[in-house]
Amino acid sequence: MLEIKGVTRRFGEFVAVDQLSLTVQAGEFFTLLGPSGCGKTTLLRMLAGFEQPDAGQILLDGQDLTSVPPERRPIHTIFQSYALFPHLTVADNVGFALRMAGVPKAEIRRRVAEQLEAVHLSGLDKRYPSELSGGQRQRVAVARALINRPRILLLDEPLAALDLKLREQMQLELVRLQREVGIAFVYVTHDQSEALALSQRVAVMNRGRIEQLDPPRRLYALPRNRFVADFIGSCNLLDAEVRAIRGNDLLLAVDGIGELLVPRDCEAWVGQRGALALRPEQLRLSLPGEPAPGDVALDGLVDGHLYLGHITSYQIATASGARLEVQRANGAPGLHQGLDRGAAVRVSWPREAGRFLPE
Amino acid sequence: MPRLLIALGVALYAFLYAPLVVVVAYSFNDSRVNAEWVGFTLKWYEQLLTDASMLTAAANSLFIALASSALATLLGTLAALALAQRRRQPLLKFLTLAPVAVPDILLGVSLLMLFVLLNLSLGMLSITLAHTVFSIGFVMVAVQARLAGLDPALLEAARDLGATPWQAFRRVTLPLILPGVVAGALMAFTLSIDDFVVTFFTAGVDSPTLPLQIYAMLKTSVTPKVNAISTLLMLLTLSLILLAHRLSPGALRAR
Repeated sequence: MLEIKGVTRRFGEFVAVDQLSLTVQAGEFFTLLGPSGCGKTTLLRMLAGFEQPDAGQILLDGQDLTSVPPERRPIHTIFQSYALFPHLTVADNVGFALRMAGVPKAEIRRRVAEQLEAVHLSGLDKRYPSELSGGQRQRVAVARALINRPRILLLDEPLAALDLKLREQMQLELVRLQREVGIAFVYVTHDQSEALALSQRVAVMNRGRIEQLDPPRRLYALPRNRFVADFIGSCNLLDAEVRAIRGNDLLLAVDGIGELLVPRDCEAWVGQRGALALRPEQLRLSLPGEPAPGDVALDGLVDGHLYLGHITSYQIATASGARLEVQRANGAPGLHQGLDRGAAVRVSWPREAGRFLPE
Repeated sequence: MPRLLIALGVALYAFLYAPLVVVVAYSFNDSRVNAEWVGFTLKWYEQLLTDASMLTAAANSLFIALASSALATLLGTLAALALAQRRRQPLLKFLTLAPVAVPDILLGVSLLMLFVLLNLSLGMLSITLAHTVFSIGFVMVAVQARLAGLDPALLEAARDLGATPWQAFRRVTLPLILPGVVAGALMAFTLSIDDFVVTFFTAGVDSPTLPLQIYAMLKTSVTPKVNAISTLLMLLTLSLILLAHRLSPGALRAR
């Protein structure tokens, strides 16, 4: 179990990580997600020991690591650039940690061969990193970091340099690998879809703090604030104010829509400002005059659309003055294909789809 | 136009290499005077081997070149490593490069004054120190070029995998900057072995180096022996320069 307790790191005036606390469970795939400059990489570097916190503690299974140098931490890192040693062969790269630990040569050879087989790189042991493809380099980095069985593996955007197809393939491999080795992975990325796809829990970071820490499903369905809703997936966010509290519902006054009820799932008070959040895939389109499938319905015009293969994204300008993004699965039953710009439509949604997010 | 350029190019190379070709050719000429070609001989090279003063000068030059290049390589490499820690220090960097640009004659005179002030007797030691001074800058430039291309994540990766700071230097930094270190050492050796001006000012009476000895011989009489020793010296420095060039960062594959 990795515990981060009130860790702060400043660079001059800039606070990169601000009194941050979190716990990573043993064997967990944990992701730090956030825009660049949010402090996720700085936090990772403090876990590795490359940076020292200005305040706070880092504990691994109760042992204080805060002032332990990187070479004495049972934590290894996979770098964004992979940082393979260019002057060493694949075998010497993979065996580096064992060599530093003073393991006998024969045993190093045996374990390196074993490790290379595990990542399907047997036969490439005498190659140099410059003679490998991007995917092969990544596997060497994985093999090198896992050979002496660290207790935690840190991964710093390891898939950023790969093209889309290879990235998806590597995501599956990483998940499988993590299950096999059974140690905790702490993964850093700015790619929200990657975070959702890989992790058991995700900490969304912004300005050195955690905005929300939850499993992917909860993070997507129940974002706690505007930042998280906006950062995870796409989301319609309309400025809103709480007018009244009615049992388990909130009556909102929404810019460009008017008054409407949404379920209450957080502390709220009358007069509180925030946003109404509507996921574009929860909105429905129908023709004016037809019965609308949702409880809340607004008339509007198609202002533009983007064909994205599996879905089409429509920009709708409502008569009441709001702009909404609506996503429709292509080939789904219902409305016929090809709503052109200027077409009159009706946007509707089930009442429970709307959520109030405080500022 | 292209023909004119080609003609100019040929003329340029002729201008550069004709004097050298003459020296090399006459070193094999079986005649005491340099005027006409008589026949092929190796006797001037044989005479070199029996000329005691020439052999002493060669031994001096070799010793000074080895000692000063070793010293310059050590100091220059350490200085480059130290400067790499503080990348934003243009003044420090400039100050180390200045001796490379200072005219030899100025450097020679000022070093002579310094040695006299320090009461250091002029001889092998003073020449070695003087050569070290002008070589350090060249070593630093060669090592800095390698260091600039070094990914800092490599050192972190080494530490991450259990290397102490010293082990990380020994296993990662040093092998990666080694081509620059060797190129710098070869440059330093070459600069030392054929230096005349700085040596002229910092040498005593009983420690002639090869260039000084050749100059002294020319003053009394021009013998083909001078051509022979010049040819040998040229061969040595040219091959070292070629080696250094091959090891220099530009010529290295980014392995």
